[in-house]
Amino acid sequence: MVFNSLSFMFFLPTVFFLYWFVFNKSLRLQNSLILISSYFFYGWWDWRFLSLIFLSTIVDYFIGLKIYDSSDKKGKKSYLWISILFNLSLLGFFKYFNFFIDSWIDLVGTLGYEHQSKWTLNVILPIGISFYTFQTMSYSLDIYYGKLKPTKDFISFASFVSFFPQLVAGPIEKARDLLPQFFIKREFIYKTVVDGLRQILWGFVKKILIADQCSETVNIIFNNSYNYQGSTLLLGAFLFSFQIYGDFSGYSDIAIGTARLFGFNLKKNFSYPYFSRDIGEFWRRWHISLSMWFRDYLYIPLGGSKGSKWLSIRNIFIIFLVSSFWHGANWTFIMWGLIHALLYIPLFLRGKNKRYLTTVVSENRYLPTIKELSQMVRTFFFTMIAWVFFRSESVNHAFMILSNIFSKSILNKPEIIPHITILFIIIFMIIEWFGKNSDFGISSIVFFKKKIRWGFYFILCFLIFILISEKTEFIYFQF
Amino acid sequence: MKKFLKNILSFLILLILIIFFSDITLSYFQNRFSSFKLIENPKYIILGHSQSAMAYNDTIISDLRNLSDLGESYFYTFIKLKKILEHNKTIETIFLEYSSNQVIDTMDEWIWGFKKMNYRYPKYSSYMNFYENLVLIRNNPIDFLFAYSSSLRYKLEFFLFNDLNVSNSIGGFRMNKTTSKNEEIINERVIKYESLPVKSSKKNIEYLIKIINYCKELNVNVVLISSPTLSHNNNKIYLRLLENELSEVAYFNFSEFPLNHIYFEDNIHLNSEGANLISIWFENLLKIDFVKNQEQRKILQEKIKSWKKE
Repeated sequence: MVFNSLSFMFFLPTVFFLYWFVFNKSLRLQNSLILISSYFFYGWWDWRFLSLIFLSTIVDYFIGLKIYDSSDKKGKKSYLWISILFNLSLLGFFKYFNFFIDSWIDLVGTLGYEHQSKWTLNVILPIGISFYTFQTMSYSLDIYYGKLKPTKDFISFASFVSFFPQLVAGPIEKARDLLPQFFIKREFIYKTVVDGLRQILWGFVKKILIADQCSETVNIIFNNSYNYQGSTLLLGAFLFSFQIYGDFSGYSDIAIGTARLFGFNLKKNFSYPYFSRDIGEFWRRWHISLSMWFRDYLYIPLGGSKGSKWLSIRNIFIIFLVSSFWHGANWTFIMWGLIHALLYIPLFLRGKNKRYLTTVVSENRYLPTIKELSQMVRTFFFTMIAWVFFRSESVNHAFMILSNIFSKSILNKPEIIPHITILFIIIFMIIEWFGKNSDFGISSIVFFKKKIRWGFYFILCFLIFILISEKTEFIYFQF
Repeated sequence: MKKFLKNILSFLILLILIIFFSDITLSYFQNRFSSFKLIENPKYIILGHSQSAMAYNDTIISDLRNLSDLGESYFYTFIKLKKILEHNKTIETIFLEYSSNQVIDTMDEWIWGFKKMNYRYPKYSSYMNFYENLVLIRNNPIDFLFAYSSSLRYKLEFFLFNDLNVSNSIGGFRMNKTTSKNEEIINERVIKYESLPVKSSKKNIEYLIKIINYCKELNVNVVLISSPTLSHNNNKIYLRLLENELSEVAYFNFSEFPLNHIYFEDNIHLNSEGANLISIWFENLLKIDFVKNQEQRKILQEKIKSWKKE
């Protein structure tokens, strides 16, 4: 089931009603409802893959207990490795098996040995597998590092693994943050629920008014890139930057808002990344849950930045490469990660990667300074160039697009100009700019009078309604 | 909790009212100000689906405008026709494509299937009555909502940007540019004759009859035409209708027109060369005022046979 579907429009109010009116007698009942609803939510897409989630749940449930019960460190480590290997095998088989086989054949082909693949499998990639496997792994890791005690309550644990708001596209919650919430009594708090609805609305705005509108032009430009001149291709890259932001952060907003309807707090996943002043700040604002996951469970265990310069550089490369590979089994993603690593390392070497750790750009001002503006434009430009690799069909395709972008034809008028989409982006960015100090773009609207608020909501809902005509999916489902 | 339920219900009710009110206003605007006026003031028009859209080149045939549209069922043709006749008093005769595939149940998909409805409903919803809306809602309520949402966008765009004359977007002759004289390629494309299912599309037949009756009321001639095809699959329903409900209606059957494969794009669509050929022949037929001849069906078959000898 996808958030922007009619089935979800019926599903959500039904579960919400049952949760607060029928199953509100006990926590166990509410958790059971979450579990059933989550399996229903996932099974709506393909019920066969429920077995994978269930298997992952069972394995990590028992391994969690075993890690905790083991008296020696070696035993704990062995169990941890079982959990990691199991989850990575699951991920590897469904997501990366064909990639390695095909890459091997390509490599052998370049050496002059032609091979027909007998091993390439015709398997469907289960939606959200990268998200829930990482979430369950975090459970074993948290227990191993002593940051969490295992639970014996299987229902709550299974609900944590399959929690439907963030099951298929995150945010990836660390077990130590989300699991304890399943053991605390939830109360209906009007303000929280309304705020959740507001965030859901903003998520839909991002998805339908921004991402889906951009995608129409992006698909035309990228699918026929050989026919377009540099300026049009640059516009395509610009629109894709907003498409992917609207799509993914929109999903996160809907997920976080939905979780709030049920009394859960999920971690912020995006924090106005296009207002970043350098790549370091960008990565603290883009897909935060994944960055934090890799930081806590990979970067720090590898030594982080505490060792020598070379060791730190190696760790940074590893993080960016693994992170890019997480997105998909394709060289385009690896190139995307590599570009970000190359942009990040100079900052790191000059010790400027943590310059904007706590502050927001123009925190107490309406307008940015010239310096801030140029920093934001520069950072956006670099990320936009990197997005070309992310969107292209192959690395060669991306290079072809970039060589056309950086040619004389960049000075010509673009062949396609989607005026309405650009207008939407401008209005959207203005709203985000004024909301950048809060959790999401329109959360500060509470300070306006009810009539203004409702008028604004009606306009957004009306626009969403008239633009939701196509059945589109979220980009990050494929990951 | 009470406050929440009260607020959410009021919000939803108000939102639904706003959507309905916007729809009614925009529909009124479109219905009132859109023009279906055909600048050529034609005496004849052709309506139908892709077969007729690709068969009659209206730049060759004088006094005729081909308004057939790809994938159009009689349901939407009827709504379109009402507006065309309202705005074009010069029209004397309507040639309506009548082929065997238009009476079978696949036509239901052309009326309320997601793709077709999502494309056609926005175009014509402003001219549809309550019953016609109900037909779609009853048969595909979920996809109707998507089509309804598309229609609002379409009307808003019409209100903000569109040319008020819509006559250029309601169909027309489609030149099939993929003409090839290589018989092997063409033959490959020709789908082998397969017996079509004989389940009827009640709704499409209902609207076929409606079109005929509506034209009768307005004293406009209706002539059914079957465009040339390679697969002459005249199913039972098609034949039964011709013998019974449609027996009084003038009927030009070109389906067995003896054209070679090279004049076709596929088994049911003519290519531009085929269209030109048939259009010249059709032009000559109109010149002798064939429409009003009582013995049309019989004479026509003889004419087609004689064409083969020419």
